[in-house]
Amino acid sequence: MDFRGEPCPGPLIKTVKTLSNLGENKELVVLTDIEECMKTIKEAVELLDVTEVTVKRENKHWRIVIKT
Amino acid sequence: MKTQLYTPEIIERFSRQILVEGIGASGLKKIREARVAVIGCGATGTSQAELLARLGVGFIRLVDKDFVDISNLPRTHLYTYSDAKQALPKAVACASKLKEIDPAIEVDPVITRVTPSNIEELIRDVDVVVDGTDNLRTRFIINDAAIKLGKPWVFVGFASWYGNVLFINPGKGPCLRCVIPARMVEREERRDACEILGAVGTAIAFIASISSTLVLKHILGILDDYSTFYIVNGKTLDIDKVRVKRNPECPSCVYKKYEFLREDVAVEKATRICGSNAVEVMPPKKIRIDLYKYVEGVDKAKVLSVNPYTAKIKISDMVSMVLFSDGRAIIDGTIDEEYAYRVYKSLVLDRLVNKG
Repeated sequence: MDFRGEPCPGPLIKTVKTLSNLGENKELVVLTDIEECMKTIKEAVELLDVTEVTVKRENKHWRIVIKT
Repeated sequence: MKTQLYTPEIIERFSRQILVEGIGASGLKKIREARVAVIGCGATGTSQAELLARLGVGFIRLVDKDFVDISNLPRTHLYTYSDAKQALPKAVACASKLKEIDPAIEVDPVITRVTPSNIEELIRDVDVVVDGTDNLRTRFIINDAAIKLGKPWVFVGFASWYGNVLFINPGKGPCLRCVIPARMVEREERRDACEILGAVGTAIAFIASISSTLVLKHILGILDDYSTFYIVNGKTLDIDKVRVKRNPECPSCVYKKYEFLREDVAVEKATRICGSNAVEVMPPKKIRIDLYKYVEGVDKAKVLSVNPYTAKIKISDMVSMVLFSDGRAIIDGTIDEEYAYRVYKSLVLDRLVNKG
């Protein structure tokens, strides 16, 4: 999901909605170039029952990988 | 998902709150896991309960002994005409509305009078206590119990257009007794009063916003001021802040005497309810009444409503009785305590005796 250029809450809402339909043992990759949005998505997703959330800086954006 | 408190829908629901600086997802977690007791579900109690439920507080206990009356509707948040017609207990009506706002939170309605013997049980398992009461004695009971158990609580006083708020964190600032002398309790109770000062709904919402903000900040861990006494004028919209100090001789928070927890106040068999045209009658001993069975023996035309918690019986065109399942009754439409007791005796006590 490429949210570069889009401020939260849109990316947060779209991310959690997608997660709710994703099922187990899947991976969701989210891209954002807004630091606040990256932090918000990471912290909010960690409240849910996901296996792992990792964040990696890539050029001018962050890559958030969510494993269910 | 980990618990029902965190689902994608809940994250979406609180997405705007999560974005607020100082809250975030970690703040939502603190709010969701917070446990609050609201003592008194009248005008100030329901306003605060609604704000806290909408903020996302995960557990809210609602304590009140009264039922919803039509005269509550202009200033009491959440209650409806239907609640009043059914004479639902305030705690139950409030709990039902909070669950409609957020089905994922836990609400715990408790229909009881707050006494020195039950207050500790009511607040032992919560993080913060919210004052929705209408009298100083109950507030001092809360104050003593809160100090004894180390529970933060917010005092909310209100009348007419005016209100006071003080967030009390035992040991970190003054307690209620440091600020208001205990003699004021007797003065309030002696006052030929049951003076009805009235209350303005908009001013109540104003004051409830202040107290609920303090509760929110405490839950978030960003409240660091436990010494400001807020004096609120709901008419001019002025808020004065007065610094208050601990009384080094305070019997409650310094000497830990807990005088208001020592013994139950003698409960008269019939007592006029301050601010209402009603008398509360207590059963002579602990009883439990099946209200559906009770109304079978009453002229059907006189049964105005019945539910698992209350039965409302018409006594005359002006007077009605709301009987609670714990045997308490409120005789509405009179302030004559003897008359109210006679009504209760003939309609409840004598009937129970006759039934064996």
